[in-house]
Amino acid sequence: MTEIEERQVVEAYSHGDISRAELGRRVGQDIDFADALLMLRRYHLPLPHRPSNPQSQGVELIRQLASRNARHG
Amino acid sequence: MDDTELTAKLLVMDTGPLITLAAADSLAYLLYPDVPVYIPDAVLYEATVKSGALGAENIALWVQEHSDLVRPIVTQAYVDFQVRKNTDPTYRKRDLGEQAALEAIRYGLPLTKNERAVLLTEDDAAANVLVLPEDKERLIPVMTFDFLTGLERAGRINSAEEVYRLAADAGRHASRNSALKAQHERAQAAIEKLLKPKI
Repeated sequence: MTEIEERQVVEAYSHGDISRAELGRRVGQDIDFADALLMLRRYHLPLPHRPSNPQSQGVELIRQLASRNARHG
Repeated sequence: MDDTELTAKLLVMDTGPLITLAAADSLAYLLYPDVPVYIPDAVLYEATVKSGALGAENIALWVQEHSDLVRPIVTQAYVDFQVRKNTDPTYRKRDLGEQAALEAIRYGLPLTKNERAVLLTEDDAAANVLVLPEDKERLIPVMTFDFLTGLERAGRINSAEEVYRLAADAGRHASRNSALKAQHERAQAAIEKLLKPKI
């Protein structure tokens, strides 16, 4: 894989278009999160935001817990 | 549900949330919901095993300093891995963290009737596979960015976006940090010491 091709794959990961597992498959090696972060760094790309769901039950649960703690704390 | 009745546990499913928050010097945010934070032993190990694992030393120190709220979960997957590794130091297990997380979800995290577990992850595809359909009401996968969004909406942090920006910046700076290897070795030693009595 050329550097240009690798950059394209890492960009796809950064944009949230592919998962970390898919990133590993395309570059032909196991990629753990630390590896992925180092690859992003190499190409000066941001961490991926997707897949994420700001409307999810989990976000609301965290908001409620953290709000309650702020009031009581 | 009235928020005064809310009870929850936070389970860190993989190294991603730890590394991201440590790189942004923001591990303290994991404690803002004021609920216990559980981390499978293998996830702690993996967060410190590579010299490229940004923030590894911060993670080790943070776990030690907050032992009242941050609790490693002992898993058979990690014990078996260590036994193999003792006889073969080159031994690696590809899905060690995932196996430990699965074990932690199924057997290591008892929940009361009204309690929820927030599964914090950077890989929600894996989290969704690990959560059985009948558990979806009480086991709730949350991406790191969404966790930070929840804190932002509660007014506890200024910006989830800013944390991610700091993490990315730290990554870029770390490549020029000659002390990284020494930090990594100290972090590994600290985590091994932390986990050793439980093996």
